[in-house]
Amino acid sequence: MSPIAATLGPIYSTPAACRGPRDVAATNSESRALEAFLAGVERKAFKIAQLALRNEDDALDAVQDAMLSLVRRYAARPSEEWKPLFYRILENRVRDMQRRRTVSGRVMAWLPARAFDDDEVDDPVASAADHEPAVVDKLQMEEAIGALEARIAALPARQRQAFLLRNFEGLDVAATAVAMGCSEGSVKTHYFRALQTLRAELGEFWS
Amino acid sequence: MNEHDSDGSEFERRSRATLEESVERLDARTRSRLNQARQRALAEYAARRASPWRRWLGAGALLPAGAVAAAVLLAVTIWNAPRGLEPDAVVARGEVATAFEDLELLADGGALVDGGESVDFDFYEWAAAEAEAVGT
Repeated sequence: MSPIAATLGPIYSTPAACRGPRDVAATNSESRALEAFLAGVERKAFKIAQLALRNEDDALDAVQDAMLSLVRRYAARPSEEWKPLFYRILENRVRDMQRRRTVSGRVMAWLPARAFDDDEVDDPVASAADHEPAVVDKLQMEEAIGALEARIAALPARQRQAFLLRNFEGLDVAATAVAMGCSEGSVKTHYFRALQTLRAELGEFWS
Repeated sequence: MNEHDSDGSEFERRSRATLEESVERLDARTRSRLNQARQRALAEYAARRASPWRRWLGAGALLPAGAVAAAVLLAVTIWNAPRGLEPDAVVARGEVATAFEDLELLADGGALVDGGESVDFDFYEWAAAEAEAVGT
């Protein structure tokens, strides 16, 4: 794609029927790059959204919305910009869903509480630990995952974002700042505080 | 604050490994739905590349269909309407009319001021004689 076409964006791009073989090849290349990018971020993005929203369906919706929004608005941008832009979109979507949930929660608070469901009580025999080594390791990992995710989910939103984008997704400070819409100094502060909190609370697992 | 926000500590390494393990343990249903979401986004991308105008249609930026139809109808009406006289044609027609009027005036005047070649003096003499005869 020419620099001008890239600047003007897809709205002014030439229809496929009028494009030459070189343009079609470039389009296919862009499509493959986009697919590889989305496939590479989708699971971590889902996990980040899930920790923020604490609901799988909402997290899936947020990831899908972020994918569509990236494709519609920023597909023509250089691929190295996609990741911070994608997480910026995802964070905005998560925030919107949290706000909506807060409003609906206030409304639901006026309604009668749901009766306790006795069927949800765990069966102590079925949940008893198996002592085979592989199973023990698996259970320990599950326990570690559960503990870490619970602590991360309890962090203040900005600390959670900084920790997950820096540590889990591997964005550098500058890209994290773009994704969070704040300064690089703020990213460092949020990340440092998140580390302090998690270390203090999870020392029993990783000390 | 600490200038180096990420110190590459054992805690960071283990927490990252734990989160990555949790991603590997995502159930098949979740993976399938993520795949579906990705395919939907890619289909959207392909559709937009194939038809750039879809962006306008999708965004609702296109004028309402009624307005578009009215604009097309107006254009067709103007195009097919019987053409009136152009200003130059009107002037030309006026000049022609004036010329004919002038010609008639000149012809009439010519008859009056004719040099006499076409005047019937015998008629005038006969008429005068007849008038005198009647008077007497």
